[in-house]
Amino acid sequence: MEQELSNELFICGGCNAKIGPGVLGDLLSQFPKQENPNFLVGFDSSDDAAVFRIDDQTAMIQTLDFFPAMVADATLFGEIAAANALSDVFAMGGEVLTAMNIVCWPETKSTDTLGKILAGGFKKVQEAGGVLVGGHSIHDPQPKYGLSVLGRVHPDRIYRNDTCVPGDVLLLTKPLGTGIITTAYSAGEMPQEAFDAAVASMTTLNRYAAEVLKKHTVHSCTDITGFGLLGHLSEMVSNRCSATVYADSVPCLNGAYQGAKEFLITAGGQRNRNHLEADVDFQIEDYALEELLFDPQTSGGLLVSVPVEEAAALLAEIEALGLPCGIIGEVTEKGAKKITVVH
Amino acid sequence: MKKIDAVGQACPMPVILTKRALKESNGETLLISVDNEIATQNLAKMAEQLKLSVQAEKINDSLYEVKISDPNAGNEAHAAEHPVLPDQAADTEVPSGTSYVVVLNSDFIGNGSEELGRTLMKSFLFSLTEQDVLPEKVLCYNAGALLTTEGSAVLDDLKALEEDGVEVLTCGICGEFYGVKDKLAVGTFTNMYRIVEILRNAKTVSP
Amino acid sequence: MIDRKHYGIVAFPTSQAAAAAEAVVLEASRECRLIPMPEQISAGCGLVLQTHLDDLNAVLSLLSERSISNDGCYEVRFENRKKSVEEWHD
Repeated sequence: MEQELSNELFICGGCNAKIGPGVLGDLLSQFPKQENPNFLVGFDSSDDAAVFRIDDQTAMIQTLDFFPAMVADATLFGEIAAANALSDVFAMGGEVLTAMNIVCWPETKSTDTLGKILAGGFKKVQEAGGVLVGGHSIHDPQPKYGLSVLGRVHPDRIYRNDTCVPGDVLLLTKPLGTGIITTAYSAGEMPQEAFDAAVASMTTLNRYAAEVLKKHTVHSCTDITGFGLLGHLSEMVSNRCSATVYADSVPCLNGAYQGAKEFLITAGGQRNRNHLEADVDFQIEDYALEELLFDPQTSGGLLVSVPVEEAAALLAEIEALGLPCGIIGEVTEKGAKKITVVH
Repeated sequence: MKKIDAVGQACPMPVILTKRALKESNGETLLISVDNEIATQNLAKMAEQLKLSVQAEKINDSLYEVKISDPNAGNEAHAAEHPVLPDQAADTEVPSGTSYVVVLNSDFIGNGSEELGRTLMKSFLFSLTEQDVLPEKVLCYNAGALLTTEGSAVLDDLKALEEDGVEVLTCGICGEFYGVKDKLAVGTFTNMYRIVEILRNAKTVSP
Repeated sequence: MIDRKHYGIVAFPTSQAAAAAEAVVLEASRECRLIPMPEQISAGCGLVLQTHLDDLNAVLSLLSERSISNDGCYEVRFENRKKSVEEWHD
């Protein structure tokens, strides 16, 4: 694989580049609440995407995501960034309609490389069932790429990210560890196979898992990205319930645990830890496992909260899709801490 | 005192540079300069896990200094029993970094001809028996479960591995699926939780 | 069971020839199996025929009866996880 994108470390690439959740929340809270009955889901509930009702049958899903590179191969970067942006639509239970490219590109860099990024993005938009309808590019010293996506969902069948119910089982459809692995790999400290597996996971669309979900009862759903598993789980339980995480059952990419043990962790992970530490009770003595749970994911899987009777059947179908996945915990009545992590 | 300049480098570079310095330092105190608070926190986390003392100081908004020292520096007996970095441990049975687990997810290897793939599997397992470092475990699932079943062409090699201390594990669900649960001829059955745990923690070799 | 610590091998120009030899030897009810070519003989990836050390003479006769030529015979020792390979002489 050629180093098409910069030789510098891609530490601030991917969802590692997100501005911390606390900072964002504070900034957005200064705006007055907008009263519009058709504005169904928005940033006040920290959801994945915004949903706006058109009529009784149709609501539009609008979302966007873009970031600097987290891998050196241009085509893969395009695929991963696109898969990441498209994911929000699937996480809300919708289908992808259209996408537009968001591009920041240095004047001095070869446009052939940009062409490969766009080709990667195009491939994923098509695979998602959508149409690439345009885009916007500006010059910028640091390359960035992503998509603005428009989707559609039935207003009564929206998956919200904060509607889990005590007694529910929590399922994760992709393994954790992409932040640690891509960062360590770019520093030459992660084996090729671990990196390849992380890439395979990141370029997998959440479309397939979402299609499986449609056949089951789902109480809540979100995708795991920059705030890590604990960050997104914290949004899911919000201040209505609590959750217990079975750390040993959380699917992880090979090499990620070892990477965490060797302290190859990211700044994004530490930001997540700073933001969430007070809300999490770790009842495990495993620092590396803690880091994995804070590790910012790029194009991560879906975290789904389902009634206990659905769990086994749903897990079997998700397993059949081929990526490491698992039942990672349960939702409980609101307790002293938002999240308790046990073995 | 050894100085490390990690200003302008984002995590985990400060950690990587510090780890390398620790390997070469022989108990010398390290002073690492970074330009953000998060880096000081990540360095502190590493130091605490390694049982080293750490002190972080903010010099100004874009400069922080982190001092890492070994409270047991100069105490050689202590150092011998408590090597600073996990991979310096002297008392592991296997030379550090070489332990591994073999994962067999089918009864043939590779894509293309299954017949060739079965020949390759036999070659692979025979070669495995002659390695200077044997795997800790061999994990068999999906059609790999057929390898540990009565009548399998590779039983002799798997048994030889077992005799030499390798744990041979077969996924129980897979044994059931292929109808061979009562014909396990080498090793034991295990469940997916244990398989995930093993895969998470080990360096895996998947031919 | 062929002794893993001390055994004979017959090498052939191609893996296919080795496979043909295996069929002939098995037909004559002598134990043998195809194993990877040891690096000490050749760096390429091929298959050789493993046999009991004391069977080598008989195996060579069988093969010459069927006009299957070989690329040499070797004696292999595997002790303390280290392998040594020497040319075999009767």
